[in-house]
Amino acid sequence: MREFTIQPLNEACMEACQLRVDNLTKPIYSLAQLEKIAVRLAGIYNVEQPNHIKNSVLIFAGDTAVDGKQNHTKGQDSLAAVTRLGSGHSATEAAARKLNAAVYTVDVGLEQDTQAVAGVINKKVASGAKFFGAGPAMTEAEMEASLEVGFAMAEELASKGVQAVALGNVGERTLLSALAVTAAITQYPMTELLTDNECTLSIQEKAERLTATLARYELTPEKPLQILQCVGSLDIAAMVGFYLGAAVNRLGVVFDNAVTGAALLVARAINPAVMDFVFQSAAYNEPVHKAQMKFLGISPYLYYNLEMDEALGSVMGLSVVDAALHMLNDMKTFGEATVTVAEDGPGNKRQDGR
Amino acid sequence: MGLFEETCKKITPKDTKIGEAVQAVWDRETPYGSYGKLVDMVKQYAMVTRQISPEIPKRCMIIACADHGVAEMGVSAYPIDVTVGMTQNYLIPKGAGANALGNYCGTDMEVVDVGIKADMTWVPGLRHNKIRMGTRNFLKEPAMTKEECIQAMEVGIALVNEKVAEGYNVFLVGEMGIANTTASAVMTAKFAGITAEQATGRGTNISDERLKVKQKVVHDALVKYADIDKNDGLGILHSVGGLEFACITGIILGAAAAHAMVVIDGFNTTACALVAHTMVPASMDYVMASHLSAEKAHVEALKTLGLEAYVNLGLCLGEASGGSIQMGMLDLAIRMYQELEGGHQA
Repeated sequence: MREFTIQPLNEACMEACQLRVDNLTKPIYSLAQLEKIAVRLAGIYNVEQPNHIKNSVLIFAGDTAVDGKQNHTKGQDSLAAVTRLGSGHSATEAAARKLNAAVYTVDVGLEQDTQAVAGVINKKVASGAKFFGAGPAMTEAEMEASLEVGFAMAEELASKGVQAVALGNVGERTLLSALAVTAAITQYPMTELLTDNECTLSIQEKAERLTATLARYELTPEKPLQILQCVGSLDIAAMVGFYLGAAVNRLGVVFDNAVTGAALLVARAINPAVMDFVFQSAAYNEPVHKAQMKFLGISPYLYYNLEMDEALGSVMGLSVVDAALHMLNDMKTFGEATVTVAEDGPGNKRQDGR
Repeated sequence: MGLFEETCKKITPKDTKIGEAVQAVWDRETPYGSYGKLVDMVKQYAMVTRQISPEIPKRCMIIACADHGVAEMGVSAYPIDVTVGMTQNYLIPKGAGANALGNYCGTDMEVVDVGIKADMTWVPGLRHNKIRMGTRNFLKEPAMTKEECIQAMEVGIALVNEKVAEGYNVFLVGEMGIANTTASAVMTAKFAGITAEQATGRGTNISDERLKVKQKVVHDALVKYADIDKNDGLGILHSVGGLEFACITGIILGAAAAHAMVVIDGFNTTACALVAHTMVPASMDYVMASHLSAEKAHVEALKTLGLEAYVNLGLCLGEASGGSIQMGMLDLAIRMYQELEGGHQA
């Protein structure tokens, strides 16, 4: 992996932004998370009052366990998804258009060849990750190459002037990688991360098998790259590189589901400062996602029961970021709008009539 | 028959046939997983507005403003002149949360004075429908007479009818009135059958001392009006409500009668929906929930209506702020639907 340095959030800009937010014409703290988002953006972009940021959507595609017995679809579902995304006729594209966000779909590890697919950026490292039940999901060289794809995408988007990115994924069985990575990093009991499905095994049986499989690799949260290589996937590795590169290049990143969340857990284990640059979005009923939120100590903003990848939740989260910027820039202070400040409560101390 | 009764009589349930057609398109265009509640939202909008191929909503935010006699009990963090200050803020500096989040979700805006306790004739663009100079302190006597309450509802109905005639089909409701979460706490306690302590929150972020006062006020009001039945919406609204709440209740009923949708906001507008629900249960077909307010009894109020919030950002501002976020998400959902619907033909 590259050598890199993440500069901390700009405290002075955040303090100045917070003071403005506290003096906007509303009860103090009443716009809650929108206020927190705005203040953090000030810290990321090193400006007291960020505005008109350039958005984009970035989707990494890769299949998991392509050599496993459960692979009946042979990457055709993923191929259909990236073809749809590449065509511009997707739900993600429709929402992204509203946010003036270009959509980039990157094949880092799909089983099928996508060279002929319009609108897909070909950065294929391998034709899918291997089933970790038989051996490591990828070689060290493949992991390094995938991390580099992510890092390079962060640099490329930054060079285009992009400031906020909605991150998403496409891939078959990637939830299996997300599950294994999440189990290894959080060390939560496997039963907490599994759902009942049509599978013939009970949760207890599945948990025992998975726990035994993971135990073979002797994974510990202190060695996140080993976790990534053994039980991760190419797209998750690319996202890890992207999170780190985004923080280096001062990009805000909105993430959504259990797959983008798993990559965040790895990136955070490599360098906790990435958390300063990321924003949650949608809630998912998937227990892996719930466990990630619990582990990170954060709550999603949007409750739409989504069961859809392709950055859909992240794009909606990017819209929440847009709302926070409207608050920061369109609202006026008590002084500017000639409204009387608070006479009671915490507002009485922070609202000074400016 | 007056406008209020006439409007209530006109309300019919949403068109479920249209919902089936919209569902079929979503089903056809869902390759795996689910678009979840985005499906339900687009369906509701289509069923309510009777559009088989739903267009991007033409939306109007309506902020109803009025004062509350109960403010004299010292239940807010802000002095009563803030109702005046904020009302002019919507229209002259245009620097309120309602303006900013209205810009975010691309809505037009109307601001109505239904009962501010001050002369407001100097504010340009304000709709002057003052019924009286604020409500009475409901600890002493009912906040409004029944007649005043119906008049305020009819202000909302007439406004909706005017805007529907101009082509608007989604209304975002918001309110401004110092001390109004005290009124909505009493209303919610009545409708949801919860205690004063459960119903009373920090409103504009008041201190512990003022919270104690506020709880006592809510408690005393519940004792004083214990005889009013929880299904008597008009009785509860006129006794302990507010003129802006009556106006918003009118907006909900008017929209339902005119096949338009209302996106409610937080604790206060949900209390208005509780009133409309008791008056005409079918009006709830036309109401879309938005966010979960940080005001603690909001979740109970939504539950009473059988609604669930979509957004949780910890907001507790009112002014259609949470409704605006939901409007933004509904807008995206309709854009997604249109893309999927048309993408098949292309």
